[in-house]
Amino acid sequence: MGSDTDSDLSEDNRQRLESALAAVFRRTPIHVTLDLRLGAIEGWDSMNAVTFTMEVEQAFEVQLGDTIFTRDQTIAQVLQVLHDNRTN
Amino acid sequence: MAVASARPGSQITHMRTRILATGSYLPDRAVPNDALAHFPRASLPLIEEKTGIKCRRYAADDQCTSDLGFLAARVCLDRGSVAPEELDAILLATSTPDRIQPATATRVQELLGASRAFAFDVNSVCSGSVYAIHLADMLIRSGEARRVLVVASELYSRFLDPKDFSTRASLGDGAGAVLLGPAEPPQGIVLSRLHSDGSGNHLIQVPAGGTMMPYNRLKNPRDAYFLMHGREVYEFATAQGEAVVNELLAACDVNRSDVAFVVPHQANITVLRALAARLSIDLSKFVINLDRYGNTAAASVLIALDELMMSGRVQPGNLVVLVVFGGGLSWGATLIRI
Repeated sequence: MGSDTDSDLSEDNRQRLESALAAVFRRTPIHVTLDLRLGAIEGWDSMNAVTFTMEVEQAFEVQLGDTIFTRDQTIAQVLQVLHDNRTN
Repeated sequence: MAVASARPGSQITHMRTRILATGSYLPDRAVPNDALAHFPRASLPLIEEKTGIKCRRYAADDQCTSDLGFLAARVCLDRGSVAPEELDAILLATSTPDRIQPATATRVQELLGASRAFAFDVNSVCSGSVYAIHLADMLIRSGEARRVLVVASELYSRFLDPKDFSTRASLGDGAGAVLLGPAEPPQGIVLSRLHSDGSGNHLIQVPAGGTMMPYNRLKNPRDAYFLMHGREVYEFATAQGEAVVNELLAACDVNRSDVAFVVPHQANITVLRALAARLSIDLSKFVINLDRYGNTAAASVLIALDELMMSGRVQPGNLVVLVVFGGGLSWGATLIRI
């Protein structure tokens, strides 16, 4: 499971997100920060947004239903979605 | 069958190479977008919106690339009323071979019973058909061969990462074939232009299975799957697709308005719309079947060419451009007067 403070970029969350991004874009390193906008990641498009969402689901062991992350969301917002998913 | 008297190294003649027949084969198993149910439901409309693909075909579990190629080849030879024994050469374009060796073309040869032919594979990924057609044209125009069968067969469903939405949604299986023989001008292949840029060889690949990453050293099972960096490939395909068609037409002193049909690699509808706009050629002149079959890599051009030739839309004297782009990076175009 993710860390207890999902909306923070803990080391555990950072590693999970970077692993998810590496799986989507098949390259490392992709360094994440809370203010990193997904659309700013080299190679991001609406198709691999779906792959990223599925990778995040697996990395954080959550089910996000019909949520698909979008280019305008930041890493902080991704973590907030994960946090909300757990608390709802 | 008599083979023209020209020997290796002989001059390319002014004779041309024409299409004697075409054929194609699509596996029975249709996979519509809503069958990709392991992806989020909300993502499924994106497939048609972004790629234009509504359905793709997957081969049966007991079929391999050569089986698909054979079935397309048999249709083609039947239509051309040419017996397999009359073939001088079989060139198979594929990037999803039966095995790492031998050439998949040799199993197509065996299945056809084309005992006189020599057979080999051409792997230029999605550009393979035009590369193979150009080689066949050279064989025929040099007098080395009179009946050359170009087959393109792909079975990507075996190489798709189930978690990669972009490739899983796009690629499908299928095969096409074209039988080529000598002709007098003006009919036939007017000119081909081929290009590659190895600096982009990492952008489209199956990482594992070769000497760079043999299966016995495989650490990440996903390296056995096809991967493509879509954004970079889009930029490449639209820019080089436009450039090579313009280069081809200029070399042949042909105006774009004189082109009756463009048969493009069926990458996705976004690429084809952009290419049509860049070339100022109406999209209605583009032969498009990706909505039904998805992207069948090297096979896509020959499947689309077969559909065009069998449609009754094409008339003798029409100028048809084949244009391809794919892994390598590789790209090319051929101008044919029907």
